[in-house]
Amino acid sequence: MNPTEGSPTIIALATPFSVSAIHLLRLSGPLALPFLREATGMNEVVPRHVYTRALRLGGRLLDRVVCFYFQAPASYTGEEMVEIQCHGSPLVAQSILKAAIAWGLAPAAPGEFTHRAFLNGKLTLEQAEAVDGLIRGASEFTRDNALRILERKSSLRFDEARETLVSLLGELETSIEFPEHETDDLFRQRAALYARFRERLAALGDFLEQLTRNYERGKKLEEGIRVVLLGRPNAGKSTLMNALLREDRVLVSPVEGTTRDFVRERLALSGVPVSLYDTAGLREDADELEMRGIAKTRELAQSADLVLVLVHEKACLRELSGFPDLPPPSAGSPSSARPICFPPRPSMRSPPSARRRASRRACA
Amino acid sequence: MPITHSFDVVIIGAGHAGLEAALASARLGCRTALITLNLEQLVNISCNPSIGGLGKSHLVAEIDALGGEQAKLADLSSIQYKILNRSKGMAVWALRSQIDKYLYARHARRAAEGQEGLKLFQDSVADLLMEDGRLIGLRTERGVVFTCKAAVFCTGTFLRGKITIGEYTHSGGRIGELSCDTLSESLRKTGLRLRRLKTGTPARVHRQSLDFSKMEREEGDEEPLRFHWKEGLNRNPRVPCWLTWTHEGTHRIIRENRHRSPLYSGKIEGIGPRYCPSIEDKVFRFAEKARHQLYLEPEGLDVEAYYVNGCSSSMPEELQWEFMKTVPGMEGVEILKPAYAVEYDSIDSTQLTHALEYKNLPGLFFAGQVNGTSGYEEAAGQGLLAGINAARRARGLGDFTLPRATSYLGVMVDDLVLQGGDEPYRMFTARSEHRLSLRPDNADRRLTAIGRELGLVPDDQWAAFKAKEGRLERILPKLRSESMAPSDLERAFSVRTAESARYAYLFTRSDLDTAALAAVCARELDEREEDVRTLAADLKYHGYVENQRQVVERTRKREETAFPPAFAFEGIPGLKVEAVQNLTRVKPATLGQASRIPGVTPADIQILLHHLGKREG
Repeated sequence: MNPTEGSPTIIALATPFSVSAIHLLRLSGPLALPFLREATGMNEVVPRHVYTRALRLGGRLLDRVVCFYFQAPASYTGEEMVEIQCHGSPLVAQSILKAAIAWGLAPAAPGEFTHRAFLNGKLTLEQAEAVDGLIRGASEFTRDNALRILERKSSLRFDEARETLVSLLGELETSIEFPEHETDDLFRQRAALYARFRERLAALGDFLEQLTRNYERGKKLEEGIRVVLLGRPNAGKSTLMNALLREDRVLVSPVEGTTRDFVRERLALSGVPVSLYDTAGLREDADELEMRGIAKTRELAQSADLVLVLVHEKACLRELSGFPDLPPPSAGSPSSARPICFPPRPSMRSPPSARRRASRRACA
Repeated sequence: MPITHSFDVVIIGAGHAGLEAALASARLGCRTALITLNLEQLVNISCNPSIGGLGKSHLVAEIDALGGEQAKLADLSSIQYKILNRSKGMAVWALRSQIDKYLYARHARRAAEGQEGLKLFQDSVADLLMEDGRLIGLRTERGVVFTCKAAVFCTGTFLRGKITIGEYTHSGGRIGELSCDTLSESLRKTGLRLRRLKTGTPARVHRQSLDFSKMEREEGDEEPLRFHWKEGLNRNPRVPCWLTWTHEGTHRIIRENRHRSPLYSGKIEGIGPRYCPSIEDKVFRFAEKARHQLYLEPEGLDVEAYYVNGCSSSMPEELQWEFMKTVPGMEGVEILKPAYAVEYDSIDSTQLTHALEYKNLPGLFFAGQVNGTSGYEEAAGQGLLAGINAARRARGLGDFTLPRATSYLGVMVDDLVLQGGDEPYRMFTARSEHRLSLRPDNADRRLTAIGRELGLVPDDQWAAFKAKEGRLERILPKLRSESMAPSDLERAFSVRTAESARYAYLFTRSDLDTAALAAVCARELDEREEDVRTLAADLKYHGYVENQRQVVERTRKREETAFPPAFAFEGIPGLKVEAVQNLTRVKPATLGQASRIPGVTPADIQILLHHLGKREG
């Protein structure tokens, strides 16, 4: 019994609704093949054969199309499926859709094909999510990651983990509820039994921990690494932002405090998705509005994966000493410290005295 | 002119459920009749000669705390006590006792005959008498009429009871006894749904035909133990049980005769208890096991009959002889009474309210095996609750029910009424969401005040309970202030600590045996060990229980959200057809009850929650 049996046959346009070379319509469900037969007049349709036919419904010619049929369960959704390529006109695609719905097919909900594939066991939950990631992903990393998951034949071991837990629970409950059976060979070796419990639990723990780590990493890849540009007013944060984006995204001027609220932009650096934040410059004597922007800056710096501090040529670390709540450059263990980078600037040449003061400060 | 008796409450059936129902009703001041097919079989230990065990001793303790009889009978007739699960946490300790079944029945009969307001009759009820949709009386096979305001059916396996031993079948609720064949039809006419269940019992064998030297001796515990609140009832000698095992030779005989097994040939249709499989069931279902254990348990001090625990069967008699003779120590076995299966009618318990009253016929109550349970303790617990409610109905009082959170009795009734189920129900500690707080040692603190208020707890029990409460109140501060020295700790438990630690803290440590520590503590403080032990369990589980309490609190609101009277589940948008059917059939009173009905999913509950919220708003 197929889990989606009894569901209506759905149809959807798989390509964007605009002018293009061709459009692709997908159908899934028990009526997919009957629809194709009726619309093309074909009696025998061989699965996975390509046909070119005129598509007619109710005596009206809709288009001349390329079509093929996938027999359940050997299809994406695991159901009977038909794919129809028509000419790339939105009008043509729309007329076919309308006629098909009038004929008795249902318009598909977003993601419904993949949902059915998941329900029918064609995809694991993880793979179904990877499909979404692959379609929406903006970076090479997201793409590669999604493809890797899709290609992996063994699914995540969720079921296995659940089964382990249920069976452990079962064994524990049995040992509680049936103490009369303790003379049984199994319970005679209670120590061995508990050792086995611990072993299986530890293995499960490792697996779940690894899963959590993968999730964090996957989330990063999908959402992008949060990089916050930080520094005193006029340090060049917005200039750097524009340079990285290769466009004049942020207003730049010689006046301090030009950027009052943070600006976020997404970009890919060497294929890694990055969320880049330009922030209001840090200073003590700002007006109220600017102070609110500065407060925001602090919050952003606290939650960033990477903070890039920009300093004036003639300035040094001391500039930031007035903001003790910001993460120190080298505090804590490597895993908990947030890295702060000082982008090298070729023209930077500070007076020796200032540099000495800075290093003293840093050591203090 | 037929005889007419007039009573407030009539109990039909005098087994474990019937006795508790009759005593409770009479003790609550109702004129009560107890009708049985055979007075000589009053409160028969029909199967295993033992009381208690996991989940079951918890029920016995609760029955005792409410003023019921079972714990007392068990102590009066016990010939061996044993604490099960002693190596595990105290919440799942359980007392199990071997019983002299003749002593048990004698004391039960004494209790029934000595009870003021209770009269015994030997007869067979055939018809229900109704008026204006209410039960007003019963008529027996002999035409005798009992008028009543409420009746409790505790018919056990006797409704259309049918015995099977191989190819042999005979009507009867127990071997050699009658069955009640017309009553099923009378009940069905009221709209009750009946279903067919099956149970079985092993052979009774002659002691002198057994060779105990080839078996393992299983002694009980030495220390004085008891079920009943009062000490010192048990003065019987302690008797051991004997353990032996089946082997491949035994299994082969059973396997080769599969076609002669009524269970596997399809001759038996009733559904049997999953947790009490017959020997043929074990051989076929657990084929990978090389052997199964058999306990030889004495049926009484003065009889030679031994009960072969683990070997219930419905195989033909000659095969029973054959396969039992293969078991070490049983080579010369002589069967006194063969193993047999019983099929019987039970009712669909989801047609009952939480007071165990049939929803469509006020005044008609059901308790015990007829409700689809198995076990003396489950039966007695329901009997007590149904007896209380029948008495309250007769006096025009409202329902008495117990919540899941404070008793296994509450868990059992809730499970029966909401879930029912297709197979015989037995209690497990795992059935309760509140296992850590529902312990036998605190059953009195949970329920005795309730029993007192009902009018079931006599003065001496109440006084003893108040005295215990006083002691606990006095001891608890001492556990918080008194400490144990590091040297004592190291000597008793080989645990090294830097400084002395207070008992209250020590009890929470998972590396110390709480019960052993309680014993040491009791000695040091010169207090009763069982008092210290119950407080130690409180302290040990306090954190977990507190967590549980918060969870309970969070779900309570949802649990108590009530459906308006005559609430229609049909037509609520989004509700699954199966959910609508089951909700309409069971008619839950609250959202919490609805959530425990099979086929009703969390999504359905969300829809109902939303729908109820809209109505209110």
